[in-house]
Amino acid sequence: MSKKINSGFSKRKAKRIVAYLLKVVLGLAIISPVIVCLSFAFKPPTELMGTGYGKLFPDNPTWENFKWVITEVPVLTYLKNTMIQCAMVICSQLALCSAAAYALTFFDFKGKNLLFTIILTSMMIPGDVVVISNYIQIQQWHLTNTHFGMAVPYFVGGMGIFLMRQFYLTLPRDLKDAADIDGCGDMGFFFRIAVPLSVPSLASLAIYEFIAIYNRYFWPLLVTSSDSMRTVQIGMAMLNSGESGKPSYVLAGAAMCIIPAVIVFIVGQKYLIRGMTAGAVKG
Amino acid sequence: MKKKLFSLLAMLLSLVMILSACGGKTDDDGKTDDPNSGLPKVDVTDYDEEAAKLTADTEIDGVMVPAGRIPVRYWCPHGTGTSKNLDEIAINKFNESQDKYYVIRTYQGGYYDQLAKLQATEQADLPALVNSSSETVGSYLHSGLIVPVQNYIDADSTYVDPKLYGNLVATYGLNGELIGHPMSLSLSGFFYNVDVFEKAGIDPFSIVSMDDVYAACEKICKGGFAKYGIAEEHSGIWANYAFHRAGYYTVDNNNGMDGLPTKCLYDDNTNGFADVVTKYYTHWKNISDNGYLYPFGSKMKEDLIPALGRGELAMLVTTNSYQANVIDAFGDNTDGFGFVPMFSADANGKNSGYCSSGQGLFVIDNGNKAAQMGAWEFIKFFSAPDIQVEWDKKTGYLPLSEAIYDSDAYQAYLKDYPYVQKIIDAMKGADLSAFYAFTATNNTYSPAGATALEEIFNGTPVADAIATMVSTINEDFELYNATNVG
Repeated sequence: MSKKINSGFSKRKAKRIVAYLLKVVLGLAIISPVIVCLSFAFKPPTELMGTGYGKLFPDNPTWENFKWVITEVPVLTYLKNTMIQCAMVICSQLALCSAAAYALTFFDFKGKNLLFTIILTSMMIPGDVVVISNYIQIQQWHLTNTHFGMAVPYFVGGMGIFLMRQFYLTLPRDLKDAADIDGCGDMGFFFRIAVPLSVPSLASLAIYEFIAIYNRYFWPLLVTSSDSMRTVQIGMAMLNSGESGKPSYVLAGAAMCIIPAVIVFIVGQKYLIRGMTAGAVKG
Repeated sequence: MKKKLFSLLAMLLSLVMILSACGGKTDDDGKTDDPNSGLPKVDVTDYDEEAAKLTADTEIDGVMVPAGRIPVRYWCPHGTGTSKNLDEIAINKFNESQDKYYVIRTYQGGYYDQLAKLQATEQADLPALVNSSSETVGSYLHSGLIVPVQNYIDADSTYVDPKLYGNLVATYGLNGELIGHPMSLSLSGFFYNVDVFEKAGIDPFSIVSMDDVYAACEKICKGGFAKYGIAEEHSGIWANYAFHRAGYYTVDNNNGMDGLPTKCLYDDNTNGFADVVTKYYTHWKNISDNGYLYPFGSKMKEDLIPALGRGELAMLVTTNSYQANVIDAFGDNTDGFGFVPMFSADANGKNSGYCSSGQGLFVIDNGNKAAQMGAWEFIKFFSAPDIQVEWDKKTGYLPLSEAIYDSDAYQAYLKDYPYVQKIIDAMKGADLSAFYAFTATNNTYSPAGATALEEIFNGTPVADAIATMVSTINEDFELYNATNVG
């Protein structure tokens, strides 16, 4: 009997070890581009392009590529500008999208479904289609080369409203009725109950927006004209442009620029997944 | 039902409103940009210089411009390394050399990012000067954005004709009048691995046609001298260079000189061009089918240049401006590579001209003639032999003129890079017949050739791939012409 238990235990243990090993291998495979990027960023250009081609680790590791990037491209300024954009857009999206979603969920008014349809329609239009018209509008408002002008088209978005609405739909209607009976108005219900309960969805919206803003290239390029206003992705493009741009410098720049995005993703990934699936299964 | 219909109409209305906002701006200054009537003539000297000067130190595009100067905003697509050279060699020196103008350079993305931004920016916010690639001359010619440089040449009594090489005049000019001014010259062709060619017993300079390319690949790969015979950077421009070398125009309206192209000529056999196109792409198909081709779509700096340096690859089709990265790949073996100017698509073609590659400077009509004159002064400054030699030495570009080539500094540079001499000799022996087609839609015209190659390598019959390419290009021409003419 004890032998049987031991055998079952060791089988389970073996299965778990194999499963973990598989996960580690899979994880390494998925993260391998980042490992390669970090490792290659330490190779001198002649080693990366010539003698050391195909070797994972550098023979003569050097910080020169990083020094070159910091000297030639104001990466820290670009990171600061990107963070300012993230803060402005995320704060605005969280406030406006959750408020709009609340109204679309809990208020009954004429044309509500039509309004929601129009909001959904806006999600179906690729960003590239409206980028030039947005730029023309920003020029007419004399907001080019400002943080506000760069952020304003993204202050509210269909995706955020849709995400938050789907979450609010999962809140029991009885909760709202009970709050009404207890004299808690809409503002009270929104701030004291709906918002605290929707933290995972708000966090997932924030992370989704962070990644979108971090990767944005053409819009900041259009709307800014001075180097001091540029963002991270433009800095990366500057490193990679032209025939004389060297891959070693691009990799060093990429290694520096992915750090904030990776940290945000690691910290917030559980919220991202939870938020994205909120409302997917309605109880 | 009524509700659904109403919702649908609302969706359509919102779509129409958004899309209509993307329409282009109309040209209401009455200026003609129809090349049929020649380049637009503008009085470039009619302005109030004093009124254009800054009355106080002013920050423009993040740069503090001193009082008393006329700011000249310059948009450029150069990234870090090249822009640093540009600042050090030319812009800083120009700003220090006089007290009238002040050039402010800012990066504006790739060539097509910059063009899109130019076309969407209000005139008062436009720069006075931009630089762009030789393949985009047509885009600037047909855009209505520029003041052709010839206007400044004609109005400037101090201008000394630098005797630009003929292929530059052909590429940047219309009937000998300059649209933009060349800034950097490179030639298309192929880098080759000297060791591989020596072992295979092939003279790389004997490869002058697509037939020769195929024969060399066959000999190199069958002999085991290299794993791959050839690789091509992922673009359609190389095919066009080979067609122009053979003496063919690739689009109608006299290769875009007489007006906006309305159709490409890849399927037009009036002069036998369609047969040449078919043969050219069939050669590439055979190269791929026999395993002589390095996987198409591989990255230039990350895959192809290192493969050339290792001797895994024998030939790499691109421009000589990749010299800096090729030097890195060959390391200490500085004599390990060379460059042969572009082969012809047809051994029996004209084969007398080489398209120039590289970049040119264009004066933009931003409504500020004083700043535009500053742009012209900078162009003159940058084109001077002493500045150009420094630029060429740092970047690997070729000289723009005989005066630059003859300078002691350039001759000393040639001793370090003897292979460059062969490129210059070939170019100097060429006539003016080859120039890249003046299309306003090069952002789709050139990539269509790369797509055709992809399809051919994936098994699509050559004729079908060419037909698709022709149809794509012609549709783009039609769309552009419908929205920009008339």
